Amino acid sequence: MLHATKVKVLVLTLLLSTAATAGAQEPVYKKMTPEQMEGLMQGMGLTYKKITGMNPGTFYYDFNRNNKVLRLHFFNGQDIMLDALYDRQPLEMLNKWNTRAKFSRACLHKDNKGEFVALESNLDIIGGVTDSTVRNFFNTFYQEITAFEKHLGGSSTPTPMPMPMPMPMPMPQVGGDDTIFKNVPPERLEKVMGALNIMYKKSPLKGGGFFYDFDYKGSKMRVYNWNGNDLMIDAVFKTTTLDKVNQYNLQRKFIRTVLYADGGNQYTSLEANIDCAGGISENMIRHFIVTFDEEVRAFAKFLGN
Amino acid sequence: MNRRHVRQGVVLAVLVALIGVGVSGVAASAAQDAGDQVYRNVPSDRLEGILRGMNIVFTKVPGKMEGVNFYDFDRGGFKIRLHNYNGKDLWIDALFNDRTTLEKINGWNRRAKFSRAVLISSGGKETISLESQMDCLGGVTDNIIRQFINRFDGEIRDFVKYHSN
Repeated sequence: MLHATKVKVLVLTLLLSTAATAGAQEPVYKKMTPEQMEGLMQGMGLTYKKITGMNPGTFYYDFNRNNKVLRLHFFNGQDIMLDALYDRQPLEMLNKWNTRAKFSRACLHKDNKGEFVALESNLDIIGGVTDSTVRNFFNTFYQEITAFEKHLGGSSTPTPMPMPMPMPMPMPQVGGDDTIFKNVPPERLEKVMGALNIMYKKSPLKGGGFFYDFDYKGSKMRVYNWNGNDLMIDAVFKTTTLDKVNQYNLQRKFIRTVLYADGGNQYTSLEANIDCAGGISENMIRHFIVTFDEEVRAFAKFLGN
Repeated sequence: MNRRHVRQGVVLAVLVALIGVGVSGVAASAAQDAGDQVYRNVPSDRLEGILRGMNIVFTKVPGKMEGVNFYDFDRGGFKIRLHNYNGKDLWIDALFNDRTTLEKINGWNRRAKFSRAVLISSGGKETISLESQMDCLGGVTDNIIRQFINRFDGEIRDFVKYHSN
């Protein structure tokens, strides 16, 4: 009986560890560099102001979220802390929070300007973290802030901190959506084109999917949607030489130029493709169409049109 | 085996199945969320993390210009170079020394979707570059970058088959 029980426990343990191993896809860090941390924050779309601490390896990153200034404390890559500051509150209220909260604590601090409350949360890196761990740490803290402010009764506002200077970073697309999907149904592509005020003529593709002919800023283009798996965009020009198309392909990125001779009709095609299988968003599709317009103009100039 | 043992066995099997589904579901969800987070610049650390996660052993070579790095690695028996231009765009290529013609190069470009072939003439020597680029400014995710690298494997295989025919 005891032997059977031991076997069951062993099987369970093996199965659980196999499942856990199979699920683990990301590298684990036991120490982070500031660059890794900054990369993660940039990946989360955070614009921060970096301040060097007095101790070596200590940095502070101030950033805005929902009109609240948060600070990430980076302690030599070994642990990090997030905090948000509030006006002074009674200790009983802070203690009540601390008895129920799981992932944060509220503390009363004092500096030369007076007393203030900090909602804080820490993450130990030395035991090992992944990118997902750090992202989840941020997301959990945002939830803690929401719950803490509800706990305060909404009567408190964050202690004002100097607004961080925006870092020079690529700005996200205005409007649109960063939600990732792995297939582009026709309606989705048509929604993006509609938002760009593109009036298109839709036709079916042999083998499935559709293509869309339209004028965009004076250039005739065609977008192909092959069953939502990948998109292509092209523009047609007069024929040229193989040397010229090769020369252009050497000079440019993101496109290719190709000579076609179909049934006596010779022409040059400027083309770009996007693979949707890894994921795509409406913003990416928009960017794909808008930047192709620039490619068309550049190629027209190259051909001397 | 008596009825008690059979019942215990069934209960255990059900528990194991439920735990397995639960753990894999949570892990898959977490992995999908992490891999689908959109960013518009690819820092070196991030790209290197993705390569390591794909078990790609690379040699990092800094470019002449600041912010440009190259990653050389072997994949499927071919030498590949992945370029990172200040995190704004990625480029992947494989070079071939086979004799070719511009007609053959153009023939590939007619049929290819996710790459292009370019003939590079330098110092009397001709090299075919099979290459693909990805603009990151519109947004990328870890999964998109992995797909970009994996897709290029297929492009190489198809190009080698095409060019040898």
